[in-house]
Amino acid sequence: VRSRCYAFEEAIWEHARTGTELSADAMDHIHNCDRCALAVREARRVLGAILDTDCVPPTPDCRQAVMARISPAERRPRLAWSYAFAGVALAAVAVGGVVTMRPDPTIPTKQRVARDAGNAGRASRVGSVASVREAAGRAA
Amino acid sequence: LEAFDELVSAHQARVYALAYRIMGNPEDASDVQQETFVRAWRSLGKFRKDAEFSTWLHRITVNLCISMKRRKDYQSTEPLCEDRLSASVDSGGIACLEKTDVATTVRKVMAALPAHYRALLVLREVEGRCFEEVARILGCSEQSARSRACKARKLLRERIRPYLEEEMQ
Repeated sequence: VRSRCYAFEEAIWEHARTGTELSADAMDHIHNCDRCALAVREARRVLGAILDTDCVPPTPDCRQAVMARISPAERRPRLAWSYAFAGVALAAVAVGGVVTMRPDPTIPTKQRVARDAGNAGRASRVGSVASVREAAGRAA
Repeated sequence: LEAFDELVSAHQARVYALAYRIMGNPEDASDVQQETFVRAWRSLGKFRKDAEFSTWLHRITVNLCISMKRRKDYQSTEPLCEDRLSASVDSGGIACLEKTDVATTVRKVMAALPAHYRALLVLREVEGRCFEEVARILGCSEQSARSRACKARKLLRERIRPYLEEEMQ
């Protein structure tokens, strides 16, 4: 019986709300079921009361308030965020550039080659002065 | 922005009516109406084109109403009418309600229902939407919407019954 009551519940509320006629099957069940007969009476009474007093006050025009809230408030944070993002991106590029442009100590540069060559020449000159002094000493 | 202004203009009446029916007072309904459009603007990117814009908007409205109602119930220092109603229903009376007329009683009982049941009853019984649409707005399956509607109606009838019995006597 309960499953049949459940099956007709939707029809009962639809009937109470819109006044559409119940099917013969539903009517037959309601005549023989006290629970559903009570449900019909209560649904009619309750929905009647709800729908009779359903009067919505005039709609306030919220366009200005909404636009005022979304225009400045929503745009500024977006701009601020985009500027912040751009700043971070630039900083990252700059740091990356500095890191990649730094000379590798293992690779010989022109200056280093020249400096090394100068040191070698000085050393050989120092060496030749010492050998001349040694020869002069021997001759003396 | 101009296009959004037009959308607000086209949908604000239905959003307000839905919010008013769920919240039960013009101040809260107005707050929800405004907040709905601000939220919609913020999440326009999330709007899927396969859903109807109005359904999506009403979903935001219902979610805002439910959270606002829960917050208000939580913040309320008075004992909840809902609790008093349950107690009075248990004891066979309905002391919480002013016994004026059925409409006032029904409104008060509706206001004391849990927010999600109230939203469902408004969508289905007051606005007469089909279960498919109700389910889309509430973000649940159609079967779940039907089952919740049964529970909501049962609760409404149980709470209103003592008064109706008294009136019939």
